[in-house]
Amino acid sequence: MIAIAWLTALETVRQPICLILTTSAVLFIGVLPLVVNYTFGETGKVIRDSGLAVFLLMGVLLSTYAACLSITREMKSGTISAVLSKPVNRTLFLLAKFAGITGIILLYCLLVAVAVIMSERTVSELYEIDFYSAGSLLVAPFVAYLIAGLINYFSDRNFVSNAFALQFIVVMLAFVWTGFVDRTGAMQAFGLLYNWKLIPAAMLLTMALLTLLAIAVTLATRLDAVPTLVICSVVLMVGLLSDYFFGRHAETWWWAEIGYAVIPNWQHFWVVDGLTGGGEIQWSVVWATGRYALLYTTGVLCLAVSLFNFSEIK
Amino acid sequence: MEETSDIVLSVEGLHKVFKDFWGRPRAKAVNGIDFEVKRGEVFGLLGPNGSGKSTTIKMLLGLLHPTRGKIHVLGKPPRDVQSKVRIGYLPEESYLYPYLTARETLDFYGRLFDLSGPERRQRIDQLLEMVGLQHTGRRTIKEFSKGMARRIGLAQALINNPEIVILDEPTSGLDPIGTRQVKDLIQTLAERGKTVFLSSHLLADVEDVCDRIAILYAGQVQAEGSIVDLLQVDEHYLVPLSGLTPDQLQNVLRVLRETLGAEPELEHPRRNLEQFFMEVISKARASGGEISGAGAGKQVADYLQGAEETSGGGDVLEEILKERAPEPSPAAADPASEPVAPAGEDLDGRIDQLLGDQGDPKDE
Amino acid sequence: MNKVWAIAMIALRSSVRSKVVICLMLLLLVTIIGIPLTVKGDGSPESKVQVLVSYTLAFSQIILAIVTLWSGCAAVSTEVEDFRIHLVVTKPVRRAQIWLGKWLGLLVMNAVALLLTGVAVYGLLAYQTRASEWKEDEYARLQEEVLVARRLVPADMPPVDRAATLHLRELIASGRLEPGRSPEAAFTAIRQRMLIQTNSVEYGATRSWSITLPTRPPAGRKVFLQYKYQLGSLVQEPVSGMWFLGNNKDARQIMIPLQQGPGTHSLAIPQEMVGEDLEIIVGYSNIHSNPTTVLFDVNEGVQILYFQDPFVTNLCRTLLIQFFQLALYAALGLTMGTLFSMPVAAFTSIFIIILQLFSGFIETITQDAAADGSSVDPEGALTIVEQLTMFMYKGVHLLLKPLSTNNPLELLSSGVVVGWDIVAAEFLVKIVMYTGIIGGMGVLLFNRRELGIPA
Repeated sequence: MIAIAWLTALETVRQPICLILTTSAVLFIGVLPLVVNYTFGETGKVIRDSGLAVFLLMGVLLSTYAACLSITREMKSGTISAVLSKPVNRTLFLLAKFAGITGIILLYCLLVAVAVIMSERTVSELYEIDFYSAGSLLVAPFVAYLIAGLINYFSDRNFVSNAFALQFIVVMLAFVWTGFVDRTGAMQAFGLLYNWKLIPAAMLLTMALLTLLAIAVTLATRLDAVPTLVICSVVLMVGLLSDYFFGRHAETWWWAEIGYAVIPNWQHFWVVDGLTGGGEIQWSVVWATGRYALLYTTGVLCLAVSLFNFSEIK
Repeated sequence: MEETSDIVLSVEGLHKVFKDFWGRPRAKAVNGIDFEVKRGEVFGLLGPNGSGKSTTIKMLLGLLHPTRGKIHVLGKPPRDVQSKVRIGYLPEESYLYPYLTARETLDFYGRLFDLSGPERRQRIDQLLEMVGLQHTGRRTIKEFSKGMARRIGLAQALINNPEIVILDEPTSGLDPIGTRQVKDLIQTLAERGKTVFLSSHLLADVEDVCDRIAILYAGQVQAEGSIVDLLQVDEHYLVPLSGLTPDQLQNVLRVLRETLGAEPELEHPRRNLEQFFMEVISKARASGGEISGAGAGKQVADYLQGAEETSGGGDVLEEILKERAPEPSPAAADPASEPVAPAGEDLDGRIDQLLGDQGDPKDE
Repeated sequence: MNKVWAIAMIALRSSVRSKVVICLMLLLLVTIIGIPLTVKGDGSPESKVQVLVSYTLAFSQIILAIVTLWSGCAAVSTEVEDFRIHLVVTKPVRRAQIWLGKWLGLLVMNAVALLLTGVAVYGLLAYQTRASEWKEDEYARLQEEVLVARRLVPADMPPVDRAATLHLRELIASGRLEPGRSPEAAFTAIRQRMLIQTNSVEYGATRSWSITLPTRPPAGRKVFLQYKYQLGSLVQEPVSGMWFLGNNKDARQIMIPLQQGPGTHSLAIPQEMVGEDLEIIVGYSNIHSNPTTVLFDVNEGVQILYFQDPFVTNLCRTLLIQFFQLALYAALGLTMGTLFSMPVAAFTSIFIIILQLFSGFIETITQDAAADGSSVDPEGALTIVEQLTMFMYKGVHLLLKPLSTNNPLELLSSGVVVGWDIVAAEFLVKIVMYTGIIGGMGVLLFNRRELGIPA
């Protein structure tokens, strides 16, 4: 079980697209302040909104792709039959796959959340770029690539997975280091300039991604990569507008009621607007949404397991 | 056979080094090989997995670029587009478009050779019949079994009536009937003056069809020469006899005993599994079992036969079983295909062969 | 060409049979039906057409673009990955022919999809704008101002260039040019200031524009005056103004006083006001009760619109422009597909397209920075990071600028002609230039590429 999960995670991380998605998310968030600071007024809000939007978008791509890769493609190529011919419980197998991808998604979420927090610090004073946070965030991925390149040169290890891991480590180090430095470069107590209120927002988004991952895994047991991606994006879109599409009709129309119940309402997970004007996200909200996500994910995974148990493998 | 001096394919000091991202050599797949293939020859490249066979073939076709060394295919460098008109290629596995039918697939490749519409249709009909897939209709290749797809691969390699046929593991994935048919086809092609270059690790197949072979190991040619030269054991003789009464046999044995001064070994020849299999299938078919996949197919497409001879229109099974009969059919002409022959073969030729007649087997 | 066509047909057939095309058509159908159902305008005929034409076509274009990119990236890269390409390149086919064939296949798919979309949108439009649906005046407005292709003629440019040059010379001669400021930047600023001046009407003043039409408006069709203004005061209230019309024969006519808020408005004017030399003189009097200046837009302040083509022609030209765009995306996808393997290729090309969409935004940044050295930090020099960023912006901008053009959908839905000149320019830029360059690169890389390297 753990072996399968670990292997799934490793396999996912070895894909170049996984690295590209995370790096571009980090770099995009890192560049945002440089672009935005000269043009708009409410820079902090703009960084938060677009940063978390990138967080969500890249996360959706990452989780659907990982699901397709480790389930659809393995079922197609027949690798899965080699594993299932061993004494492995199908239910456990699928759950292990889910767990493996979940691990990667959690790493991704932590990484990108940290990037958003650093990026927001960069613009904490109007028209003044904080080069300590901006610089370290933008340089970190390149440092990671450099080290991974060197490792690959000298020991022939896989570049992509090393770069992914190193990128995580280096960005975390940059986060810690920047946390101890103020805008002039002097030492200070850790994290004074960071907006810790972003953490619950990032946690909610992480839950959203995991819920979506469960849906993607379910679809991937039966569908090809492209349909899975398309359906996941549709679910995301419709779910974001769930209140509009279904909510207002739910009382009157049966289809709206079903739609409202079946498609997750992503608005629950998107609470960053609450941070505007110094607001805070209540932990009770996080808790309630967490329960919603947990229930939903469990339900969807049950469906996935039953679909997978009854599916034929060529 | 005056054309045999004509060299259609030559490889000189060929090296291929695969490099890693940093440009450092990662693997030496081919390490300085030389060989030449003459027109009308069946040349086999043998070797274990990973010995550089496929890499060599891919370089011959211009898919991979040699690190060092020269290749000439029909006097041109391998990446020359025009010389491809005269080459047919069957890859290691069937790399076909999954959503096309057999006919559409062949039509597509025919178009790439700028064949006219009627010519394409005619050739496709014959090829499909040859590989026994004329009844697959509207089924797409996605639904084909591996062997069926392989047959399509073979058909597409021949659609341009090529001068050189390059076959990478031609018999892999085929059933015994298909294997047998491919071997016959290779010989027919060679008889028509076409050159066949094939790679394989199935030694029996190579032994049956090749005139000359090269054995590759670790990217180098370890042995090269004509199959007769390489395989013949000069000190041993095999004398197939049949139709002898016990008395006659005793007489022969006595003569032998006197000549040799030792007791000769006596064994009954065994039919090989291939022949036994053919008989079983043939009987089953005669009793009316129809199968959904590939049929046995016709011997060889007419346009490949050339104008002067359009025989071989029969079923492959019948052809194979007919081989036992005295009248020679084009495919059965090669005695080398059955070194341990069953009773009733033309003894003289076989004995000549076994006694070391150096003549080209196809001269008869 | 035969071979190219064969490759194109195979690609098409595969995409039809693998149900990619069916999915695409379904998505388009959902878009065409769904968007008018969910997005409600303000109920006016203009907004109805806006939703149907602009939004629906824009959304279908996005779907087509994504599908095109995806299939373009997949076309070569998957065949290389699963070695199907081996059977093609070992035939007497140039790699350029393979590339072209794949491109052509995507073009045919897009052409069919766009054509169907166009027909569907037009059918829906005809249905929704039938006479019985609307009040008489609304219907008339639809027929004359929205469902047509009108030629748009801006007011003649006032001779500011000469004046600005003179002014600049004077500044330099008298040494009053700010130190450290380039003459080019100063010229741009002076010229802009002068343009604003010539387009503003102070309280109680009257200003006139002359507009020369390139052709005579067709008889029986209305001519429109369209104007766009802001107010010089903070309070953006409706202002009273009066329009005058005239031509070289000096048949002056006084139009009714108007009470309109800032924004874009239009006014039907009689055909006969177009002079024999095709010139119209338009004057505006600021007769507002409060002393406030009316600032007409420098570019779109005063314009004349008149009938040129029926709507269908315009729609076709717009679709043609969309088609060029998709052809470019197909080329981009194919070239990325020869460079990278599948998901990476798709991601990279989508990234490039997003860059292109933001090119307008990047343009403002570069201009801001170029206008007066540094908008960032007026006191000190630019830091290295800022210089690097700016350099990067400029590079991207230079590469992408030719690709950013006016959105033809906006013109189409506001009843303005999408001229053949635009179509030709789009063709030149998107097909001849960019597809040529991208395709050339693709073929070059494809030619050099080794196939069948063991993993």
